Amino acid sequence: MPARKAGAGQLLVVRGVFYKSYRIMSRYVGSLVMILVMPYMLGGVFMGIGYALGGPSAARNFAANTGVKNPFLYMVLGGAMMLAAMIIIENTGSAIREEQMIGTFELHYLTPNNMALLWLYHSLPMGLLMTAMFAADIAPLVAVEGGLLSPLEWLAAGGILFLSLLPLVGIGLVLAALTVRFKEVWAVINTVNSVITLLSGFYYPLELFPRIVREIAALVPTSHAAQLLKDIVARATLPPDAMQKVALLAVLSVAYLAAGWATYRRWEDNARRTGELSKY
Amino acid sequence: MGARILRGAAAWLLELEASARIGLTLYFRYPAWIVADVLTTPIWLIVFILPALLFMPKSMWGSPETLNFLFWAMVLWTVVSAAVWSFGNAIRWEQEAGTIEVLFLTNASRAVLFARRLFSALLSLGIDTAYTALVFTALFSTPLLLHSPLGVAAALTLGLLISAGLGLGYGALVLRFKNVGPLNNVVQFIILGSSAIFYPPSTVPEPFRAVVYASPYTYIADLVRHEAMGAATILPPLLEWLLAAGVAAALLAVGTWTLRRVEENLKRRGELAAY
Repeated sequence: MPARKAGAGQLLVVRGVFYKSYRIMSRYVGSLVMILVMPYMLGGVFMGIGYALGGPSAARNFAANTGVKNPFLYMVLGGAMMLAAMIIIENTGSAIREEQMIGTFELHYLTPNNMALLWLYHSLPMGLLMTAMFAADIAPLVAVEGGLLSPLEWLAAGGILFLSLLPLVGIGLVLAALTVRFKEVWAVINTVNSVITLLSGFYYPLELFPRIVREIAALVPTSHAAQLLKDIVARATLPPDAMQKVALLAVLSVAYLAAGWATYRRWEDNARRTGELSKY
Repeated sequence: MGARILRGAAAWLLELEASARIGLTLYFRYPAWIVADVLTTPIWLIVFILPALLFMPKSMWGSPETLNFLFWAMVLWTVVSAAVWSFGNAIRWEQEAGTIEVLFLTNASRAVLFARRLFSALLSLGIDTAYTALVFTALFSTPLLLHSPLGVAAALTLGLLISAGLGLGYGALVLRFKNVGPLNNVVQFIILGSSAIFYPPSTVPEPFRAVVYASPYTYIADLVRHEAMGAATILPPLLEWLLAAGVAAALLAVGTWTLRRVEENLKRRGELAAY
């Protein structure tokens, strides 16, 4: 009975986080539109440069280097994944920072909630939104290609993206811990985002890098997701090792989330003891 | 009359010095950002250059001309972004800090008052260019082409002045409409897309060529490539220098005038402090 009550309580917390996130997001429609069109803008810039440099054989060169015939789809796909990853990584830290800035951060500690879990919940609405944005970005291009994905393929693509974002939530929790400790962590977030972007291969195949870099990249969850999604969406094939990659993503999710959770709890305990929690 | 002009010039220099001091103090107040810039610059260089190279045969990826072209384009991106992140950002910052009304009580030049980010942008441009050049040479094993360092510095400074002129106009928009939010990125991409920075102007198809030739950044990029790589220019170099300098002066004048007009209008309607 108490377990059921606790479960219902958690559902209420999740609902509250969803409602708060919706209220905040609905205030910044312009930013949402920007997130939606940014992959097209970046893709357009890369296409323009690429065609200017490659000349008439640009598309042929691109296909030879990537195995994908539609460079724009490849670029938009990469851009949508990159933005989703960046936003998820900074989401938890920025949620905490916002609460700190408006002076409501400590009020959360008056509630009987588990704080690490509460900040973790903040990633759910954003993760779902980014998955929907990804679908909205890709759908028109896939439709123009004439190769509409089946509902199962859409489900697989959305699921893979969502699964690849979960480990990033773990990284986000570590950054959130740093936010509680150091207050201003945008410089760290920017650095982490750039490293993950480099090693994920959103805009290029990772095979271009030396072996040592590829091995390090294998520890970055989005590198597997990028490869899988490029195969499913841009190359319209399911690679033979797809299930292995999904299993690896699940393992990485658990590992990163556990590491993020432990780090956050440690920092939080320390902050409570030293009174750092409300200093900012 | 002469004494009045001298006094005015001295006051203007004083304002300029104060603005530079604020800009540089703010820049050095956050050393973590400077370190992050140093760490991430080579990463973003790879992330943005590799996708462009995918459109060329692998045998051409080591071409010094192509790599240098992309290097200078990345440097010019910093110059372009100063247009949207300078004045507008400084105005918004003061609005949010609640100090803009106090600044508007002074008789200081509005253009100089909000130009502070340009000073840190100039410093950051110098540091970033030097550092990126080192990383670029190491990463791609390609020598950096820099025929005339002074010419490149002059062209980049002229580019920053054009950004300052556009930035003043953009700052007036921020003053008028307050939170322009995502417009910053949109404007930046429009400028990048419509200027021959990341592509040679000769590759632009005819209907769009007029748009590209109308952008002042096209000539700045042209001059930078000419001074750095010895590349051919669209117009004779002297004409391009004069054109860019004239456009910079005109944009600065129009931008300053627009900012003053918006301030006067807002004051008349009592909306200066509404944000």
